[in-house]
Amino acid sequence: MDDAMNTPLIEASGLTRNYASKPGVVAGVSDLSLRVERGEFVVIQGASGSGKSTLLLLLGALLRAERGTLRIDGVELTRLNAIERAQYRARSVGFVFQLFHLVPYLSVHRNVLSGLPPGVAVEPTEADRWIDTLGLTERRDANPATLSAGERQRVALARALVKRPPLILADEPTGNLDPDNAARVLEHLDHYRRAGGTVVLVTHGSEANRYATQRLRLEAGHWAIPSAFPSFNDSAS
Amino acid sequence: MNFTLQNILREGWHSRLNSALMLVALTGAVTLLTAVQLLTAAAERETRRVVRDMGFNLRILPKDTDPERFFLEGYSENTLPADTVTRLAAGAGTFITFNHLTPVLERRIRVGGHECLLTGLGDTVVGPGEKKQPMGFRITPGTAQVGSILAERLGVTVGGTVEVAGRTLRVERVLVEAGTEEDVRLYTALSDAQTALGLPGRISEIKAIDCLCLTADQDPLPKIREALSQLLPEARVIQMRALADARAKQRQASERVSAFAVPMTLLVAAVWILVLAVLNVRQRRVEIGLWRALGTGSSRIAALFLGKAALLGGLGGALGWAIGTLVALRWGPVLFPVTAASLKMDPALIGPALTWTPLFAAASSFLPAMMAVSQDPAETLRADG
Repeated sequence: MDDAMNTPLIEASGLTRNYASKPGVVAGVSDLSLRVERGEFVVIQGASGSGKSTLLLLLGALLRAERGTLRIDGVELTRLNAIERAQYRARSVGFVFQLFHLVPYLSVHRNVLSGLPPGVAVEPTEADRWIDTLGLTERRDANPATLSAGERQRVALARALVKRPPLILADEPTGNLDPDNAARVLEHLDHYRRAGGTVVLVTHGSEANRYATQRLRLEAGHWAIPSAFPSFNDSAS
Repeated sequence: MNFTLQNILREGWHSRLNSALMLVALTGAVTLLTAVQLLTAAAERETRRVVRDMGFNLRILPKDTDPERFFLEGYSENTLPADTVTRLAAGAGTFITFNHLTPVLERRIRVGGHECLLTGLGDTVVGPGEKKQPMGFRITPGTAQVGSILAERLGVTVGGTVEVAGRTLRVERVLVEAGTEEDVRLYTALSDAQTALGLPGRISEIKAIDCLCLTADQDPLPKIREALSQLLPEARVIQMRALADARAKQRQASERVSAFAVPMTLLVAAVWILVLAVLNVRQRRVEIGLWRALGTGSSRIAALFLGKAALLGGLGGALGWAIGTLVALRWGPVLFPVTAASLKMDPALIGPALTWTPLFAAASSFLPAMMAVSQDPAETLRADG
């Protein structure tokens, strides 16, 4: 096994990012440390405004840290410029959002294809394989507006998985789904983890706990239990 | 088809209302610009024709003309060589100040027992590259055009003849009553007048139009006199001030309208397109955030917006040119009946319409596009927390 596979996928230290969410209210994360091994399913919980999404966007290089270090898959994100961060996202990260965020003018098939970075060659059937795997075969050419919430989230999941990224970042992926669809999405994420991928999922709820290999809680931008690498693994099923 | 073009076309179809509004804005702008361009050109032609029909406003006379006699008689008793016109026309910068140079020989004579003004008109000389259009009448040698009162006194009609100093001239036209000394004037070709008056190769004045088109408050006369003194020291010039002033005011007004209409149309179209582009960006904030989350580069995202604007610009340019031309051709003749025949489709406008409209649309969308790529995707993609 090469050295890269022995190092943690995510290592963060002193990670800080604040912003004014409302006049006079500063939200974000402050002085966070984090370590995530490859193949983990990390569940981060916390109330609204606790900094969960901010942390997720930092991990996805959509936000820049004001302070601290953040190394993912051997790349120090805080040193990347805008183009390099876009390349990192295209290559290494799959996003799944609570509100699905499908491109409204693309069919299911094309939305899945949109997850592929420009110039990346994959088997033409790869998108269809994920569409089939996620039970969307009949909806392949449908417009997102005609899909149910569960179907939309599965399209978003297929889009994230089609490029086989080392890391999936999921922001409340079950927040708009009924329990059956929520369970289905979490099963797919767990399946991806068991195949060697890493998942970081932020949520209000507890339905993802049973899949977690590491559980963390954020409160007002800090880990609820101060620790360099806090873990709730003992409570994970 | 590449990623960007495919997505532009799909998004354009998906956001049909926005695309249609933008296309309407661009088409409307080019329609207005094309129509305004054609109609202001028509208005200027019409104005030129109308002010030309006001007649000459400059009289270039032999320098030794006695002003008192000139105004009492209505013409100069002195003469210049007929080739003075060609010398004046050949002078450097003549047509900056003067145009429609027409040699004239004028005298009071008796015809058929009646006193009248004999006016011989030579060929008009216009500036280089200009279409030669006679200011007064083009008189064929051997023919005459007769003022209304004189014709009545002589009892002549079109096709009849008049005897002028022993020469018989066929009456080509009887002029309508003008209410001026024109009614007792007999127009002939310059050569016929020179023969009849025994003044071969001579003229009594050059009639002209002032090209400076300055209004009275801009005091054009010293400039005109200065120009003539350089070009033709043996002559002097009299300006028919009321006519010249009316002509200058009319032309300046026409130019002001043109100078206002075109940029105003452009400005309104730019604001309209800018507003639509900003609305489009606002509607697509989440999509932009998503493309960024997927790792799409800023240049590609900007290309989605600028490309859409440029494509719609090309389409709007072509449609606008066609509709603007149709509008001008349909209503132009109603607005400008005198020069209606000159109103034609102008193929020279299609090139600018097809090149400038996409550029203009892209430029109007540039700011919103830059806003799009610089906006924080975290703001649009986060659920909460």
